[in-house]
Amino acid sequence: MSGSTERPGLSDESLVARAREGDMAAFEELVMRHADRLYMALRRFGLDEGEAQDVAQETFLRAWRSLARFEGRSAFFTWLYRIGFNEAQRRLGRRRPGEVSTAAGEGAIEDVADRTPGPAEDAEQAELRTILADALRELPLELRAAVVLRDVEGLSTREAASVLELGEAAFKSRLHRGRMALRNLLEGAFLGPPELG
Amino acid sequence: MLRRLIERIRFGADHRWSPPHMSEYLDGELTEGAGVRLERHVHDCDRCREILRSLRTTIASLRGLGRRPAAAPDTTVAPEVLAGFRDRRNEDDERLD
Repeated sequence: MSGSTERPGLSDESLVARAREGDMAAFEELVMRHADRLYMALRRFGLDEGEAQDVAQETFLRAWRSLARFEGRSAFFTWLYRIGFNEAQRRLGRRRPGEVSTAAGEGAIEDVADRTPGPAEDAEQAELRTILADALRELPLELRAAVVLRDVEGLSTREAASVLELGEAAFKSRLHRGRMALRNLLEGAFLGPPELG
Repeated sequence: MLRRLIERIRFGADHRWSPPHMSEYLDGELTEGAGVRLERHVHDCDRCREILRSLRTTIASLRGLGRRPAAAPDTTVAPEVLAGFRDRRNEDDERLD
C-alpha cells in the first residue's frame, strides 16, 4: 500500500538518525507513523480535508529538506507540529474573518475527532461536540492553536509551548486566555447561566 | 474590626489573583502554596467557584474532542500523505537537478 518498509521496533530517534544519513525508507516510516496524528491536529485547528493533507505533505517535505538542522532538542513530532502549525496559521490567517471553507463549515473538527460515532455517543453528545467545535473556530488563531495543542491534542505544556516557540509562562497565559474565551462563548450553551461570568 | 478589614483586603487580593491562575491549578501546575490560596478563595467566593467549575467543564469537553475510537484502518490518510510527499520530493529533486 505505502511501499515503505515498516520498522515498528525502532524509535523515532533511531529513524531520524538513519534518515539524516540519507535512509529514505527510515524517513518514510516516520511519515507513516506520524501522518494521521498531524493530519488530525491540522483538521482540528480549522483546515479542511484537502488543506490538511496538503499541509501535512508540505510539512514532511520541509522536514526532510531541513532534517540536518533538526537538533533533537524536542521530540520529532513536536518539530513536525511546529512546521505544520506555522503553515496552517499562515493559510488560515489569509482568510477573511469568519470565513470557513466548505468542508470545515460542515464540521471538520468534530468529524476528525470521532469519524464513526461510538456506541455510547448519543445525539446530545454529538450536539455538544458540534457546539464546542464551532466555538473553537471562533477563537483567534493564536489562542486556538494553544487550546488545540494542549487540550484537544493532549500535548504537555512544555511540548505545546515548544511547538508555538513560546516560553512556558507566555504559553500558559495564552492557553488560559483561550480557555476563558471559549468558556465565555459556551456560557448558556452547556456551561450554565451566564450571570456569574 | 481590624481583623475584618484585613480579611476583606485579603479577599479582594485573592479575588483578583485567582482567576488568572485557574488554568494552572486545573493542570496541576501551581505550587502547593498557591493551590491552597486558590482553594481557600474559591471556597469563600461564589463567583470564582462558578468560573472554576465552568472552566473545568470546558477543558474536559475539549479533551473529549480529542478522543478517538480505536484506530480504524479505513480512516488513515497516511498512505495518501506519503504518496503526496514522494511526488513533491521527486518534483523538488527534478527542479534542483
